[in-house]
Amino acid sequence: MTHALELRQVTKRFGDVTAVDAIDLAVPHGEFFSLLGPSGCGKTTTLRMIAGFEEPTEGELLLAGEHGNTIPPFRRNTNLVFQSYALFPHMSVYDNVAFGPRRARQPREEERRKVMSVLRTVRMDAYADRLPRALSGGQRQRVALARALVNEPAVLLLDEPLGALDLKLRKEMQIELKHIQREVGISFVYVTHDQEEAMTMSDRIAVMNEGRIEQVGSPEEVYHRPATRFVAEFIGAANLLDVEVIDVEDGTPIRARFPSGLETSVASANRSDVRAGAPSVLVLRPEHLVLHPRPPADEPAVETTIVETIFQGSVVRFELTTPDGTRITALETTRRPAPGRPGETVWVTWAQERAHVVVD
Amino acid sequence: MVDSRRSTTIRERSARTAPGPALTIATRRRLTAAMQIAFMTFVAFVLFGPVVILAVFSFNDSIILGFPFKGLTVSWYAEAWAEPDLWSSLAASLKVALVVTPLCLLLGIASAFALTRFRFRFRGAAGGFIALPLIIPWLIIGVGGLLFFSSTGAQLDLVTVGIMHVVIAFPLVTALLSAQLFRLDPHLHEAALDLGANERTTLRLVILPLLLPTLAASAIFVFSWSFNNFIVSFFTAGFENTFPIWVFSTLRRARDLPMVNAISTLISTAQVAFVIVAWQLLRRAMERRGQDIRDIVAG
Repeated sequence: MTHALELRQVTKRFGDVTAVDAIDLAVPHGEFFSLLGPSGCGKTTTLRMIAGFEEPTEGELLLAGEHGNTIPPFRRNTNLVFQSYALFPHMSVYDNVAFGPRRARQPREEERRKVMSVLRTVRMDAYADRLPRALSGGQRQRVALARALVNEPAVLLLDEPLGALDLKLRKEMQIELKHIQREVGISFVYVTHDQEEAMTMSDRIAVMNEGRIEQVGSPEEVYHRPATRFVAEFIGAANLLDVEVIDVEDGTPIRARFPSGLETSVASANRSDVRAGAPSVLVLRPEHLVLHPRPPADEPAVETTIVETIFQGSVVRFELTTPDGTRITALETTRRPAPGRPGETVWVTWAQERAHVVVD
Repeated sequence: MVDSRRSTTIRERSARTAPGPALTIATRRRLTAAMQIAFMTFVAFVLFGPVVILAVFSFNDSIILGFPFKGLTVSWYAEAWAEPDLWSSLAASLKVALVVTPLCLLLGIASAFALTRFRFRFRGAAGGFIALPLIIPWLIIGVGGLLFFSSTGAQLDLVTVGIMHVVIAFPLVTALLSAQLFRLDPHLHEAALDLGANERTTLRLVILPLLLPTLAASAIFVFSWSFNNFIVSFFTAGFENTFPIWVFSTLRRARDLPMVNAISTLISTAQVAFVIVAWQLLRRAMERRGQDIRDIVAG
């Protein structure tokens, strides 16, 4: 089966600057795929290469299995939703959405049926005669989406489309975008720097940094089994503790040792690159930590001092510090009595199946 | 010592700016409004006073521009109407302006696109070079044109006048259009390409319609610049008469002054009326398309 979109060793250089560095990607039909990364990581350049506004310096771009490096944007079966929406200000909502179908020379009735149907999908059919400037930001967003969707592209590209909306509207639109994507069944390639947004909507996420892809995986995978330190830090909150891997053997858990000499077992790792003796990082999510007022007898525990406790409603956040100065954040469901007060010593343990190690 | 002096100035200053109990905010606002009206009246008087006086004297039954008014007459208008040179010079000016305007729009569009959409060596220098005719005095441009044409042996006539008008007027179009193009979201162009329009269709359906109001305003400016230009035409027209040249040469005979007054009043009124009507049409067209006319000039 061919993929809707495939990138093979695609590189883009602007002069001396390498914006995208030999990335490989494959997006199957009907997938909600996100390119996630900080600004300047190359995600927008990647999207613009897929749309046809930039030509890859090296590598191959396959659109529905066919070589697509040099196809001009107006002949590609892709459509892009711009961050600024880029609605034509002199055209009504209807004419904006009908722009694509008219270029494809579809019969008037067909055009009308398609435009009104897609406007219904984004709940903007009542505004067909309005000019873009008479719409709110959220409404413009929907029209921009409709204008791209109406062409039934093989891949719909979205460049931070929710960036200009306020938080509440953004949350609503995230859910709605996901619904629309399921409904139309088109592959979405969604560029964002907001990890929460990517987690909410995506089937799979590619985490990008400095022009390279650090990891591709489902939201659960990138959250629970980050491939690199960068991914662990970028996705959600993480406690990163320096450890040395001392034993890697198939069939048994990895053994790791803290600088303090404390040893622990780690269930999860990206085995291929974890080697004994390599300086590594233990990734512990705040919600997986358990605090004990006294050292537990039967499992390894890290001794810490409470710096701050912050009540957040359903959870309490503990800011902790180890004797060697490493900061640790723990989230515990509110319980009484509290494990300790600021200044007191507590021992931190974790469910071993939740511990994850990456090479530093 | 220093401190006490400073505190005095602060107190004085605050005393000056602080609203006293008598001077309420409403009164102050009314005062400001009154001053604004006074200032505008003064400006209008300085700008339009002389024109209005000429218009008034074009109805005076005397060849002397001075009070008291001798009597009301329209004979100057009749005399102007019967002047054959007037009609031929008006026709010449119209002809030149009608040819110069589209040429300037074409050159303006081309140069504005080149300057705003493409990156090339000496782009800044090219922009500055194009803008030069807007800065160099027209007198110098006129003399320069005369020297150029006479050194190349070109016949001085309406063609040379037209060429010189293009030189002085198209940079204005470049400036107005560049400002508008610069403000246009570059993603509009990309969006049209993305939706299946090639470059030409994009230009026709997206870019030009969005530039149309600016183009119309440019056309009005260029037309009136060309039609009204005296200095540059004067040096490059040879034996031809444009309307401003005819006015100038006729003014040298004192007895014709009231007749020139009469025709100038007519032409000015016609031009003002034309610009007002064109502006209103433009504004309405833009409102239909959801744009604001202030966009054209507020570049």
